[in-house]
Amino acid sequence: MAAGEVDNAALRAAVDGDPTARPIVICADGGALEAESAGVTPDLVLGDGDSLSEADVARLRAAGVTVTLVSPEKDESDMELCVRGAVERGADPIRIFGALGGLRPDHTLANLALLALPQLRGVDVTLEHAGGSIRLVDAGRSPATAAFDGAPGDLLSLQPLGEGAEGITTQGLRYPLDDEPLAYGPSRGLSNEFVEPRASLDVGRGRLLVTHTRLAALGAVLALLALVACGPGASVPPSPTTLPSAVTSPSNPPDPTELVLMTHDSFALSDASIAAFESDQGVTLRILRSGDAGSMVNQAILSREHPLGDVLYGVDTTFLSRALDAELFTPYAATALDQITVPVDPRRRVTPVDYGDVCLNLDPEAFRDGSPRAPDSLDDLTDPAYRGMLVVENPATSSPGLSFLLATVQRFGDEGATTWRDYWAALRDNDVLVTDGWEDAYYGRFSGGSGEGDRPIVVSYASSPAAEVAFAPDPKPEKAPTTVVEDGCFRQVEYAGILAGTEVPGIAGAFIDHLLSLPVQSEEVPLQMFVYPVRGDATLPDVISRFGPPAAAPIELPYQVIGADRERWISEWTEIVLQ
Amino acid sequence: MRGRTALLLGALPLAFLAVFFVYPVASIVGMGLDGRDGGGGLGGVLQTWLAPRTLDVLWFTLWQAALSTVLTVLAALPVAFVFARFEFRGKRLLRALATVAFVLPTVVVASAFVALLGPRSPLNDVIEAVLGAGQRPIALDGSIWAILLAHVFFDFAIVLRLVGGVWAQLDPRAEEAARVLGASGWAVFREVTLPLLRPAIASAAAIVFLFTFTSFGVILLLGSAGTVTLEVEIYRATAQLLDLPLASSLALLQMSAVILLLLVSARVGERLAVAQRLRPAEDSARRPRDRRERVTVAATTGAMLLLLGGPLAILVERSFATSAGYGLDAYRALGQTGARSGLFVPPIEAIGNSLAFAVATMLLATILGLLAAAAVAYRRGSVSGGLDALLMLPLGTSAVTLGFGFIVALDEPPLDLRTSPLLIPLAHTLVAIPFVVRATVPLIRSIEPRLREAAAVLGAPPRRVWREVDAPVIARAAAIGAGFAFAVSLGEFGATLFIARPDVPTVPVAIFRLLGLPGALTFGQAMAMSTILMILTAAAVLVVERWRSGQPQVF
Repeated sequence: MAAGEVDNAALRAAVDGDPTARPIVICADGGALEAESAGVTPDLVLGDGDSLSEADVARLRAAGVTVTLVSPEKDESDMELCVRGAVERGADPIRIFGALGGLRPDHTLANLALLALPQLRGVDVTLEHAGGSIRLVDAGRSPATAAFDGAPGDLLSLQPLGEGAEGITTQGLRYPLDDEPLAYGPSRGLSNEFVEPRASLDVGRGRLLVTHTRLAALGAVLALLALVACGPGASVPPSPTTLPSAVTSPSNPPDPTELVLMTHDSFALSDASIAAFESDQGVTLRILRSGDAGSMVNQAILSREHPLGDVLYGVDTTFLSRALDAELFTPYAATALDQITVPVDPRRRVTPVDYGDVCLNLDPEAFRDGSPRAPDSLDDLTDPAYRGMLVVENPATSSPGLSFLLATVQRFGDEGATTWRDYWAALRDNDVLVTDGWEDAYYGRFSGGSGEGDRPIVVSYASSPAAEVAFAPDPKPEKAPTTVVEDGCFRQVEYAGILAGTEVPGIAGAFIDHLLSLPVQSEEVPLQMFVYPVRGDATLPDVISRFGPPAAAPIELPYQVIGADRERWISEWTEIVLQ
Repeated sequence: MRGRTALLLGALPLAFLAVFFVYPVASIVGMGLDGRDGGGGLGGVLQTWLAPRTLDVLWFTLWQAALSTVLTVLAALPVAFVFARFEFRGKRLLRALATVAFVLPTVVVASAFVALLGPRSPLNDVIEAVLGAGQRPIALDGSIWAILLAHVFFDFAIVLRLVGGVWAQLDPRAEEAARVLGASGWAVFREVTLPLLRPAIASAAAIVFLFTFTSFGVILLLGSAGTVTLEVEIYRATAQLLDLPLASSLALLQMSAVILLLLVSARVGERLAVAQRLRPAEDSARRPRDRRERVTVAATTGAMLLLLGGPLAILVERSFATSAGYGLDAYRALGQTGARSGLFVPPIEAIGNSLAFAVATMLLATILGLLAAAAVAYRRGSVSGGLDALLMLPLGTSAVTLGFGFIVALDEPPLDLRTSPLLIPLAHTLVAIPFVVRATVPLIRSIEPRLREAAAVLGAPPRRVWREVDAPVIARAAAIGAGFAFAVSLGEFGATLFIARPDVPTVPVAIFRLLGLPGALTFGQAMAMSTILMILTAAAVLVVERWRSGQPQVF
């Protein structure tokens, strides 16, 4: 396995397809991590180790993997070491995954050239790509005849290396060659087409790179598939130039496809945006709603063997660790990755799409006469002056409720003389009201905005005042009816990921790119879902930037920390506040 | 019509239940039991059952359900009586009102209850005006009373329809005879009417108990965070914690309690069944004759109007409220497209989807329910009781268990319906079948065997006996059941909340979506959608009733 794009499903099939003969898996350096995330354990890791941490090496070795590290100052690429290693072990055939794509086109070119390595003479070597494979047919070697099993409609591209190839004869192709030459330079040999289930060719002189792309994969290869990063930062935009002619070819209309999006109940995208994506990709988008974010992640985990959808959107910081631990996702590097301003998963399993800030909202009416003054920090809330004013959601049943609990955990600490437990005990003694859901807290108990209750402080979102303005009857008010307390806001990032096992990873990736496209980030994310775009170059609509901008100094907690203690915190909280 | 026939009749509904209920639930529960670390299996289950926390929750679940059931029956019986015995203007409309209450999504009703029972209640304004400033005694939100009242509000229609349906067809001559013989009104009710009604009451009470025993939305939205039912615990264990072993143990506890209750209730229902000659409802109801009767009718229906109409009226009022008085702003906003189109579901589309699902559910549930009811009614003993209990079990099973069960069980062709819109009417049908069965069984059982025998003696072949004697009664019962099935589907949201469901927005879904964002307009739109749902339900119920009264009524 090497740097670049990997079709995880094909990789797994190659490794586990024949239970009687498991191949040796040799991985170049940091790609071992990605092999793991694809569910494949390497046998041997070769490389200079600059992409592996000491902990990674220790873990791999503990799992029985042989890790051989060499000096970074060497003549061979990690990939070449792997290929030589494979030959030394007598491997035949050799299948190479992840040799194409990646941040470094020079690696791609070098990997193609590796097919001509003298050591590989007589060995059946293929470079696997998302839609098929690449082989070298060399007249100087035997056999100079090659056969390809496929299906009518599959594409076969013949591209000479070096000075060109001569004496090429093909069978089973739409544009047959009969003892003809192909020159290095012109693209004549590109996109020939199977007319029979099997195609074959001979080469009289020279070398020919033969790329076989399966019809079934044509839709998928338009976008980048999975990325296996073998080496530093080898994650990259897809190359949209792959086989455009094949897709527009009238003789091969792609099968009408469907992309199933698994998401939570709060997902919203305008019809126009959905239509734009559909016509762009030639697919139908089906939206599958699966309850709240927690319920959705759990459903995705339980259906892992037979995934309900192709792409999942809406897992947030509070549940991310559970989804990642369950290995739900196929890595994907989104096109706009370098524009994202929040931390991204180094292994690209999920892509951040938006973030929201859970903040205390106030009813300014209640504090108009200055006694008490409007609270401006979490500490204020335990002051008897604010007794009976706060309503929060139960963290066991509500996402904003959990976020607020996490904010207090981070602020007041989990260990030491005084902790978040003391803070909540003080809130309890100050008559905090707990509801099970946001709707009840905001509409039922909160006195500000469209709320109907009598408590002037509620746990809601930084964007809630903006929503109050956007969804006020015309004429829209000049001033938001509610305000936000800057202190104690908790930031939740929402992610999207390609569900492992999908048959249309390419389109799933394109959907993630769509979510990260500027129109969606600037318009849909803030105005449909009232969360904030992760792209730095996205602009916030006026109503959001004026009335509900993101918090200036939010509290954040890494998802791993949340994942480790979430259940304990919730049950401790329940004991303190509810019992 | 014994033994094998009954089993044959029951085969189709049993198969349906096996595939869409037993198999999914067994899969998810089995998964949870396998996954338990250490001890494993039944030992772990028992450990969960006997944990103090579980016992607390079970106790609260049981007593609030029992109390809600008693209150609902007590509140609905007088109304059922008035409906059965008297003919008066607006009766159909009132009956539709009860069904409307039954159908509304919890989240909407909860907001009406908070408005009505919370500290800002208009009732408090009235009391304050009378008793002086500061006298605002009503703050029931978050208390057990709010939960109980909401349960009565929702489940009123169950008792009204199931008991009222039988009551209206009781032969009034038995009561009249008792009267003539000198019995007081109360004595007549206790000695004559009640014994005849008991099977229907038991049947309705069982459904109300199941509904309140598995109460979820009402508890979450109107209770305080400390009030937790088994259903809420199972939801937390499954949807939040992904603690399947815990969830499975609790689900088994919930189902065991339900099965126990159902077996007892089936036995009781069967023992209480009395063969009697039913009469068309039109023959037994008459206009109130004297002042006392008129007062009775007015007082009873007035109380019902207050209980059910109050919260509904608040919702309608809200839908018209604007920043400056009243207007159609919210309704107009419903019709807008454009920037908010993701949130926005065109009302016409939502209504169309709701109606399509409701019709599909009605057909499926009525057919399967009638077959099952026949199997239950024509056969007695433990098989019948068991079948009845099995059919009722979906009502007593937590929605999240079933929803997650679908996901793990129905995952391979030809049963991979997980992403199909078909799943929605199928889930609704599971909930609706018990209503059809409950509406039908007491009526089928009440057919006097002598009537069949007489027909047979007079030379009618079995098929004709069935057509002339059984069919008219069954048709009548089927209409009640069909109406319920339709209504259940129209308003159902809870059971499908946990199914990964295709994005086919129904009216309740549209309401739920609108309530997810703050804003006076979204709130108003949710209320406007709720009002539309009310009108839709009322219209549907009135149509079903008309159709029902057009049925042949040969007795």
